Amino acid sequence: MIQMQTNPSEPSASDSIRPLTSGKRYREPSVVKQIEALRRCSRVEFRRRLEIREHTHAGFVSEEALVYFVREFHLSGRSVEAGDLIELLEERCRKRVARTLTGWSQLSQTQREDCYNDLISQMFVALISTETKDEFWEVRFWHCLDWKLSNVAQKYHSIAQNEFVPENGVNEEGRSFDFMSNVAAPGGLSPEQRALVQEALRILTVDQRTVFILFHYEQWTQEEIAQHVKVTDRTVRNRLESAEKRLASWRADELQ
Amino acid sequence: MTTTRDENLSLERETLYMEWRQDREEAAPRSLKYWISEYPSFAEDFLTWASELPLMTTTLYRIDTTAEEDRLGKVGRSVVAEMRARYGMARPALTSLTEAARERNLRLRDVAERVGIGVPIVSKLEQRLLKFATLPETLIQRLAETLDLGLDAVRDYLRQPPTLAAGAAYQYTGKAAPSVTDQQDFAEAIRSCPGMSDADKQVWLANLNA
Repeated sequence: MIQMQTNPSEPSASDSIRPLTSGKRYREPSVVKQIEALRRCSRVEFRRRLEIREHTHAGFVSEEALVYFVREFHLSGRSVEAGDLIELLEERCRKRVARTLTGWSQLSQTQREDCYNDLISQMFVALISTETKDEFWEVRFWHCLDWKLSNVAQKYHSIAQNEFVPENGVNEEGRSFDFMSNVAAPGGLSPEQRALVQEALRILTVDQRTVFILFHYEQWTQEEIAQHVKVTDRTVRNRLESAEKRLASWRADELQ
Repeated sequence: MTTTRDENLSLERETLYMEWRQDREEAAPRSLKYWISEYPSFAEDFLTWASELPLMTTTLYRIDTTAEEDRLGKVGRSVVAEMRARYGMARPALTSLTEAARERNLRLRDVAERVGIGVPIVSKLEQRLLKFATLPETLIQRLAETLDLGLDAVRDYLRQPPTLAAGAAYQYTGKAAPSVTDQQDFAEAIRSCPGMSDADKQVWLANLNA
């Protein structure tokens, strides 16, 4: 539960919104509007707004505005309230992170939890930071979170790779198969199919997913993929086939 | 020196990621090939980011991640609590309902009115003279809302052993040492509470039976 002990509009360092120090970064006008309104509203109203969970609700407070207030409170000595807001931000991150981490299929449950531990620790430090490089959290919260998440997930993925034993039939090098009969041609997926497949991408390994996305989403040829990913053409084909097989199995389950 | 170079590289990579993410939201984003040709030393990063992006941005999830969210929630809450303590941002533990009310310019009578109970019951709650297991969740919620406290803070306070009333030591003049009264059931306390209307009592008793 969010607890605000004092009025957010009570003595603050300045009457105007704290500007960003980087000249290249700007808060969205809608975020500025929210911050202005929240600075004027009563303690009760401020708290009521924080309780709104539906992001489509007109009173929903954006994550970027919350980060602004974390820093505003922290800088003005209202650290407990800043901590309450960080608690709320952590709560809001959970669903997105849970969904994303399930896409890192090689990570064990413990590794995913360790990932989240690291992510939230890093986010916490960034949120109370006064460094210019961390200002972007007030501009694009989810981009910053994704960035941190990507880094920690990759770190744990590297660890997992050393422990990972490929399952039968997924070891890709040296297998022969009829590729074109199984995998759609570039552009062969309709937007609806792509959207559906997007949901299923989490069941693929990172290698399979990279190849699949470059082929189906970025429209690269297999040769281009092989060149950039630094594997052989055959490996690219094998990864595509493995990915397609897994997705076909997923689709079959989904239709049941 | 190496660290500085690494830090700069890391910052450059982060800046590039933000630019790329921003561009991906445009109506006609630049192709991945464009980014790789512009920033060839980050080619591998672009491939990784492109591979992860659909996982982060899809809105079509129908697969239930509730269990995963619960597990992460436990981790997240624990990390935040630890970090709050480390950076002096922890919420002080609740030591007295009366004190918490006073900090919010409320008298015990105000608290009693807002929660919908009699003042004697608030006093009993203050001294933890009511058995925690018999307290309805509604009561804890209303107390938390009235005092602007977290549910856990209120629960933790009410779970503690009973205590002497403030000032008991000063009032004591007898030979026997002062002791706390036995804890009472909430329902019993409601029934015997002076100053509460029968209607109010019935609401709470019905709530307990629901």
